[in-house]
Amino acid sequence: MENLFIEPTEFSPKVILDVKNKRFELSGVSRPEDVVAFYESITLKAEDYVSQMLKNEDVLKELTFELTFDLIYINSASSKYILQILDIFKKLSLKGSVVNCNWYYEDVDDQILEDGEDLSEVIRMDFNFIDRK
Amino acid sequence: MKESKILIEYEGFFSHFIVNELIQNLYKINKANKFQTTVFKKVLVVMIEMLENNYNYIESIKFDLPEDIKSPYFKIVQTSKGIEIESSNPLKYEHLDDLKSRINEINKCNRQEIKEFYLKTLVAGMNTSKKSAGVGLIRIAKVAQNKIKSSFDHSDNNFLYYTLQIIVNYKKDT
Repeated sequence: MENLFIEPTEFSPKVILDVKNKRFELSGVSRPEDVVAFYESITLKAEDYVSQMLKNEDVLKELTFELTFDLIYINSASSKYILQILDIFKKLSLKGSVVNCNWYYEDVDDQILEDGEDLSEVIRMDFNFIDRK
Repeated sequence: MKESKILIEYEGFFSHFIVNELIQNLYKINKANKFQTTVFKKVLVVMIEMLENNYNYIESIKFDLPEDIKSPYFKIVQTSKGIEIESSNPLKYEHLDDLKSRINEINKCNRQEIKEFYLKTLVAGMNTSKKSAGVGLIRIAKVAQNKIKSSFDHSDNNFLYYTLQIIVNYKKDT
Protein backbone atom coordinates (compact mmCIF):
# COMPACT_ATOMS: atom_id res chain seq x y z
CA MET A 1 0.00 0.00 0.00
CA GLU A 2 1.25 3.48 -0.91
CA ASN A 3 1.77 6.36 1.47
CA LEU A 4 -0.43 9.44 1.39
CA PHE A 5 1.09 12.90 1.41
CA ILE A 6 -0.81 16.14 0.92
CA GLU A 7 1.05 19.45 0.98
CA PRO A 8 -0.37 22.08 3.31
CA THR A 9 -1.89 25.31 2.03
CA GLU A 10 -3.00 28.49 3.77
CA PHE A 11 -6.41 26.87 4.34
CA SER A 12 -5.78 23.15 4.48
CA PRO A 13 -3.51 20.94 6.60
CA LYS A 14 -0.54 18.77 5.75
CA VAL A 15 -1.60 15.13 5.67
CA ILE A 16 0.70 12.13 5.99
CA LEU A 17 -0.18 8.46 6.11
CA ASP A 18 3.16 6.74 6.46
CA VAL A 19 2.50 3.05 5.98
CA LYS A 20 6.04 1.83 6.74
CA ASN A 21 6.39 3.85 9.95
CA LYS A 22 2.76 3.25 10.94
CA ARG A 23 1.82 6.85 11.48
CA PHE A 24 -0.79 9.37 10.42
CA GLU A 25 -0.35 13.12 10.76
CA LEU A 26 -2.61 16.11 10.25
CA SER A 27 -0.98 19.49 10.83
CA GLY A 28 -1.63 23.15 10.12
CA VAL A 29 -4.87 25.00 9.46
CA SER A 30 -8.03 23.10 8.62
CA ARG A 31 -10.70 25.17 6.94
CA PRO A 32 -10.52 23.98 3.34
CA GLU A 33 -12.79 25.68 0.84
CA ASP A 34 -14.34 22.36 -0.15
CA VAL A 35 -14.17 20.34 3.05
CA VAL A 36 -15.90 17.29 1.54
CA ALA A 37 -13.54 17.02 -1.42
CA PHE A 38 -10.52 17.55 0.80
CA TYR A 39 -11.34 14.99 3.48
CA GLU A 40 -13.03 12.31 1.37
CA SER A 41 -9.81 11.03 -0.18
CA ILE A 42 -8.16 10.99 3.25
CA THR A 43 -10.92 9.01 4.97
CA LEU A 44 -11.01 6.57 2.03
CA LYS A 45 -7.25 5.99 2.24
CA ALA A 46 -7.41 5.57 6.03
CA GLU A 47 -10.32 3.11 5.66
CA ASP A 48 -8.36 1.17 3.08
CA TYR A 49 -5.28 0.98 5.32
CA VAL A 50 -7.24 -0.09 8.40
CA SER A 51 -9.23 -2.69 6.44
CA GLN A 52 -5.99 -4.27 5.24
CA MET A 53 -4.53 -4.30 8.75
CA LEU A 54 -7.68 -5.82 10.21
CA LYS A 55 -7.26 -8.86 7.93
CA ASN A 56 -4.20 -10.03 9.84
CA GLU A 57 -4.85 -10.66 13.54
CA ASP A 58 -1.23 -11.59 14.34
CA VAL A 59 0.04 -8.28 12.93
CA LEU A 60 -2.65 -6.38 14.81
CA LYS A 61 -1.47 -7.64 18.19
CA GLU A 62 2.06 -6.35 17.52
CA LEU A 63 1.02 -3.08 15.91
CA THR A 64 1.64 0.32 17.49
CA PHE A 65 0.16 3.13 15.41
CA GLU A 66 0.85 6.83 15.97
CA LEU A 67 -1.71 9.52 15.29
CA THR A 68 -0.44 13.11 15.36
CA PHE A 69 -2.70 16.15 15.26
CA ASP A 70 -0.65 19.35 15.26
CA LEU A 71 -3.32 21.82 14.26
CA ILE A 72 -3.50 25.59 14.53
CA TYR A 73 -7.16 25.99 13.66
CA ILE A 74 -10.07 23.67 12.88
CA ASN A 75 -13.40 24.93 11.60
CA SER A 76 -16.53 23.10 12.68
CA ALA A 77 -16.94 21.47 9.26
CA SER A 78 -13.49 19.88 9.60
CA SER A 79 -14.29 18.53 13.08
CA LYS A 80 -16.77 16.12 11.54
CA TYR A 81 -14.07 14.60 9.31
CA ILE A 82 -11.39 14.53 12.00
CA LEU A 83 -13.87 12.59 14.09
CA GLN A 84 -14.37 10.17 11.21
CA ILE A 85 -10.59 9.71 10.89
CA LEU A 86 -10.29 8.99 14.61
CA ASP A 87 -13.15 6.53 14.37
CA ILE A 88 -11.42 4.67 11.54
CA PHE A 89 -8.10 4.29 13.40
CA LYS A 90 -9.89 3.43 16.63
CA LYS A 91 -10.89 0.14 14.97
CA LEU A 92 -7.24 -0.94 15.29
CA SER A 93 -7.23 -0.43 19.06
CA LEU A 94 -10.49 -2.33 19.38
CA LYS A 95 -8.71 -5.31 17.81
CA GLY A 96 -5.73 -5.23 20.15
CA SER A 97 -3.32 -2.74 18.56
CA VAL A 98 -1.86 0.19 20.43
CA VAL A 99 -3.04 3.50 18.95
CA ASN A 100 -1.34 6.57 20.42
CA CYS A 101 -3.01 9.86 19.68
CA ASN A 102 -0.80 12.92 20.16
CA TRP A 103 -2.72 16.18 20.15
CA TYR A 104 -0.58 19.35 20.12
CA TYR A 105 -1.66 22.75 21.43
CA GLU A 106 0.01 26.10 21.99
CA ASP A 107 -1.18 27.16 25.43
CA VAL A 108 -4.01 26.49 27.86
CA ASP A 109 -6.05 29.33 26.33
CA ASP A 110 -5.85 27.60 22.99
CA GLN A 111 -9.19 26.65 21.42
CA ILE A 112 -7.37 23.78 19.78
CA LEU A 113 -6.84 22.22 23.22
CA GLU A 114 -10.58 22.45 23.90
CA ASP A 115 -11.29 20.99 20.44
CA GLY A 116 -9.00 18.06 21.23
CA GLU A 117 -10.64 17.47 24.61
CA ASP A 118 -14.07 17.50 22.94
CA LEU A 119 -13.03 15.05 20.24
CA SER A 120 -11.34 12.77 22.78
CA GLU A 121 -14.54 12.70 24.84
CA VAL A 122 -16.79 12.05 21.84
CA ILE A 123 -14.65 9.28 20.38
CA ARG A 124 -13.89 7.80 23.84
CA MET A 125 -10.19 7.62 23.23
CA ASP A 126 -7.39 8.96 25.44
CA PHE A 127 -5.27 11.64 23.79
CA ASN A 128 -1.76 12.68 24.82
CA PHE A 129 -2.07 16.46 25.02
CA ILE A 130 1.30 18.01 24.27
CA ASP A 131 2.25 21.66 24.77
CA ARG A 132 3.99 22.76 21.56
CA LYS A 133 6.29 25.19 23.42
CA MET B 1 -13.43 52.65 27.38
CA LYS B 2 -16.64 54.64 27.00
CA GLU B 3 -17.27 54.54 23.30
CA SER B 4 -17.59 51.59 20.97
CA LYS B 5 -15.08 51.30 18.18
CA ILE B 6 -15.61 49.42 14.94
CA LEU B 7 -12.57 47.21 14.32
CA ILE B 8 -13.70 45.43 11.17
CA GLU B 9 -16.64 46.14 8.89
CA TYR B 10 -17.53 44.58 5.55
CA GLU B 11 -20.62 44.79 3.39
CA GLY B 12 -21.04 42.53 0.37
CA PHE B 13 -21.14 38.89 -0.59
CA PHE B 14 -18.41 36.79 0.98
CA SER B 15 -16.01 34.36 -0.64
CA HIS B 16 -13.34 32.10 0.81
CA PHE B 17 -10.79 34.74 -0.25
CA ILE B 18 -12.66 37.62 1.44
CA VAL B 19 -13.06 35.58 4.62
CA ASN B 20 -9.30 35.07 4.63
CA GLU B 21 -8.65 38.80 4.10
CA LEU B 22 -10.87 39.61 7.08
CA ILE B 23 -9.04 37.05 9.23
CA GLN B 24 -5.70 38.63 8.27
CA ASN B 25 -7.16 42.04 9.24
CA LEU B 26 -8.09 40.69 12.65
CA TYR B 27 -4.52 39.43 13.17
CA LYS B 28 -3.18 42.91 12.28
CA ILE B 29 -5.68 44.60 14.61
CA ASN B 30 -4.73 42.23 17.42
CA LYS B 31 -1.06 43.02 16.88
CA ALA B 32 -1.78 46.74 17.24
CA ASN B 33 -4.27 46.45 20.13
CA LYS B 34 -2.80 43.48 22.01
CA PHE B 35 -6.09 41.95 23.12
CA GLN B 36 -6.06 39.33 25.86
CA THR B 37 -4.92 36.08 24.22
CA THR B 38 -8.03 34.18 25.29
CA VAL B 39 -10.30 36.93 23.98
CA PHE B 40 -8.47 37.12 20.64
CA LYS B 41 -8.62 33.34 20.15
CA LYS B 42 -12.32 33.23 20.97
CA VAL B 43 -13.07 36.16 18.63
CA LEU B 44 -11.13 34.44 15.87
CA VAL B 45 -13.14 31.20 16.18
CA VAL B 46 -16.47 33.05 16.42
CA MET B 47 -15.57 35.24 13.46
CA ILE B 48 -14.60 32.33 11.21
CA GLU B 49 -17.68 30.30 12.15
CA MET B 50 -19.98 33.28 11.54
CA LEU B 51 -18.40 34.17 8.21
CA GLU B 52 -18.38 30.56 7.01
CA ASN B 53 -22.03 30.14 8.06
CA ASN B 54 -22.92 33.30 6.19
CA TYR B 55 -20.94 32.35 3.09
CA ASN B 56 -22.06 28.71 2.98
CA TYR B 57 -25.72 29.61 3.48
CA ILE B 58 -25.66 32.19 0.69
CA GLU B 59 -23.89 29.66 -1.57
CA SER B 60 -26.70 27.18 -0.91
CA ILE B 61 -29.44 29.64 -1.96
CA LYS B 62 -27.55 31.75 -4.51
CA PHE B 63 -29.78 30.77 -7.45
CA ASP B 64 -32.87 31.97 -5.59
CA LEU B 65 -31.52 35.38 -4.61
CA PRO B 66 -33.12 38.38 -6.33
CA GLU B 67 -30.67 40.88 -7.82
CA ASP B 68 -31.75 43.74 -5.57
CA ILE B 69 -31.45 41.78 -2.29
CA LYS B 70 -29.69 43.51 0.60
CA SER B 71 -26.06 42.39 0.81
CA PRO B 72 -24.56 40.35 3.66
CA TYR B 73 -22.77 42.34 6.31
CA PHE B 74 -20.17 41.68 8.99
CA LYS B 75 -18.63 43.75 11.74
CA ILE B 76 -16.51 43.48 14.87
CA VAL B 77 -16.92 46.18 17.49
CA GLN B 78 -14.79 46.82 20.55
CA THR B 79 -16.95 47.85 23.49
CA SER B 80 -16.39 48.43 27.20
CA LYS B 81 -17.62 44.89 27.97
CA GLY B 82 -15.85 42.94 25.26
CA ILE B 83 -15.69 42.32 21.54
CA GLU B 84 -19.00 42.17 19.72
CA ILE B 85 -19.22 40.14 16.53
CA GLU B 86 -22.14 40.58 14.16
CA SER B 87 -23.08 38.94 10.90
CA SER B 88 -26.13 39.52 8.67
CA ASN B 89 -27.44 37.88 5.54
CA PRO B 90 -30.65 37.33 3.58
CA LEU B 91 -32.59 34.31 4.84
CA LYS B 92 -35.33 32.40 3.06
CA TYR B 93 -38.63 32.45 4.95
CA GLU B 94 -38.80 28.65 4.72
CA HIS B 95 -35.64 28.38 6.86
CA LEU B 96 -36.83 30.78 9.55
CA ASP B 97 -38.55 28.33 11.92
CA ASP B 98 -35.65 25.85 12.01
CA LEU B 99 -33.13 28.61 12.63
CA LYS B 100 -35.22 30.28 15.35
CA SER B 101 -35.76 26.99 17.14
CA ARG B 102 -32.01 26.16 16.94
CA ILE B 103 -31.12 29.58 18.44
CA ASN B 104 -33.74 29.16 21.20
CA GLU B 105 -32.41 25.70 21.99
CA ILE B 106 -28.86 27.06 22.24
CA ASN B 107 -29.85 30.06 24.37
CA LYS B 108 -31.67 27.85 26.88
CA CYS B 109 -28.45 25.99 27.67
CA ASN B 110 -26.04 26.79 30.47
CA ARG B 111 -22.29 26.32 29.96
CA GLN B 112 -22.30 22.58 30.70
CA GLU B 113 -25.45 21.97 28.66
CA ILE B 114 -24.05 23.80 25.65
CA LYS B 115 -20.99 21.53 25.71
CA GLU B 116 -23.20 18.44 25.89
CA PHE B 117 -25.40 19.78 23.08
CA TYR B 118 -22.30 20.44 20.97
CA LEU B 119 -20.85 16.95 21.54
CA LYS B 120 -24.23 15.28 20.94
CA THR B 121 -24.71 17.18 17.66
CA LEU B 122 -21.15 16.42 16.58
CA VAL B 123 -21.69 12.68 17.09
CA ALA B 124 -25.09 12.77 15.38
CA GLY B 125 -23.61 14.58 12.38
CA MET B 126 -20.52 12.41 12.11
CA ASN B 127 -21.83 9.94 9.57
CA THR B 128 -24.49 11.99 7.81
CA SER B 129 -24.17 12.93 4.17
CA LYS B 130 -24.33 16.62 5.06
CA LYS B 131 -21.25 18.72 4.42
CA SER B 132 -20.83 19.58 8.09
CA ALA B 133 -22.09 18.24 11.40
CA GLY B 134 -24.28 21.35 11.87
CA VAL B 135 -22.45 22.51 14.96
CA GLY B 136 -21.42 25.99 13.76
CA LEU B 137 -24.00 28.00 15.73
CA ILE B 138 -23.56 25.88 18.85
CA ARG B 139 -19.80 26.33 18.64
CA ILE B 140 -20.22 30.11 18.44
CA ALA B 141 -22.20 30.15 21.71
CA LYS B 142 -19.92 27.56 23.34
CA VAL B 143 -16.74 29.48 22.55
CA ALA B 144 -18.13 32.97 23.32
CA GLN B 145 -19.83 31.70 26.49
CA ASN B 146 -22.68 34.10 25.90
CA LYS B 147 -26.22 34.11 24.55
CA ILE B 148 -26.82 34.64 20.86
CA LYS B 149 -28.81 37.73 19.90
CA SER B 150 -30.72 37.54 16.66
CA SER B 151 -33.15 39.59 14.62
CA PHE B 152 -35.19 38.84 11.53
CA ASP B 153 -36.35 41.81 9.47
CA HIS B 154 -38.81 41.45 6.64
CA SER B 155 -37.15 41.92 3.25
CA ASP B 156 -39.70 40.74 0.68
CA ASN B 157 -42.23 37.91 0.37
CA ASN B 158 -39.53 35.26 0.18
CA PHE B 159 -36.70 36.69 2.21
CA LEU B 160 -35.85 38.11 5.61
CA TYR B 161 -32.69 39.88 6.66
CA TYR B 162 -31.17 37.84 9.48
CA THR B 163 -28.69 39.31 11.96
CA LEU B 164 -26.69 37.26 14.43
CA GLN B 165 -24.74 38.91 17.21
CA ILE B 166 -22.66 37.69 20.13
CA ILE B 167 -20.16 39.22 22.52
CA VAL B 168 -16.88 37.80 23.77
CA ASN B 169 -16.35 39.38 27.19
CA TYR B 170 -12.96 40.44 28.46
CA LYS B 171 -11.42 38.20 31.09
CA LYS B 172 -11.91 39.79 34.52
CA ASP B 173 -8.74 38.53 36.18
CA THR B 174 -6.19 40.18 33.88
